[in-house]
Amino acid sequence: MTWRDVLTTIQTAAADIQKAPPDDMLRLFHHQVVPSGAGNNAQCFTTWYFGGADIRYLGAYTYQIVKLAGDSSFTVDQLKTMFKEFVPQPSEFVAYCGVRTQWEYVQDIVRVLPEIDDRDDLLALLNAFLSYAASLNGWVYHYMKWEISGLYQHKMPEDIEEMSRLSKAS
Amino acid sequence: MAAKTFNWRLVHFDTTLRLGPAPHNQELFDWFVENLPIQTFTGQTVVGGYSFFHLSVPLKIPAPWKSDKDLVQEDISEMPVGRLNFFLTAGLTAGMALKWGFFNEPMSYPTWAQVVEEDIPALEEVGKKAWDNMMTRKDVMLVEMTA
Repeated sequence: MTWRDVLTTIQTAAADIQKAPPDDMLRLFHHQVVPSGAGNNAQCFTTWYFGGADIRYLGAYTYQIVKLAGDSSFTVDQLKTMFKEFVPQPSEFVAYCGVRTQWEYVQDIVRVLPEIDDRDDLLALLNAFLSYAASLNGWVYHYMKWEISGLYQHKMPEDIEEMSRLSKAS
Repeated sequence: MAAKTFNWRLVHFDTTLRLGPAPHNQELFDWFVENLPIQTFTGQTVVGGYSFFHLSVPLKIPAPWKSDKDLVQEDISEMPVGRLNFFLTAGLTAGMALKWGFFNEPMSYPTWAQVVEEDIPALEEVGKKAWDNMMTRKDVMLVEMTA
């Protein structure tokens, strides 16, 4: 695949997941299916917690690089280095957690970066991945089981005073 | 001349809100309207307070500012309900939050649009419905923004 092929693939996928969640997201976050077995004691709460957080980083890191691409003091080579240094690590972990397609895209991007010398061409590729990663983050926000948060209410000072009293009662 | 308002429609609940420019950053409103129509999906913020959270709004025209520090910003805990801000917006992808309820996060973001006064009750009602959906059924919430 050339860099333009990679660009088209990611742009198409990014447009698709604007309308509906990708299977990766449904599989892990909605149906609790984890092909890799990630999650100690066969649970997926920790997989969601850390996988979801790293999905957030994929978008945030790519956003920062796209933003810095607007500053001409950063060269194309420096921007490429930023992507290669910041993005693959969380991407690979997210794939282990079960959201695998984005890791294929990241590896494809890293593979074709040597073909790109032009800033606008690099930005086109980064913009496509930014859109895809940002949407993945959005789907995490939608499908995360926030409803369990009701089990973990804030403890207020009066609660703590009552707990202290009760802990001393004979 | 850019439109005075644009429409924001939450398809699942068939609710349409009108948004006009905020008192500042009006060039951002004009630029955003040039990107319409836009379809995206929305979630909800879950830590700082209650807002619709569009994390991957697709743009046709790249975001025209280099740093949020170059824009007028408002503290999200103090800005009015109905205010729309930008979050992690660069290149061809915007992040946006539409405040529909209480916020206590003391952080500032560039703001640029505001739900018209008459539509605020509808915003608060649909915000609660969308929140309940996120906590239960998790039906997909598509949003259409049109001039």
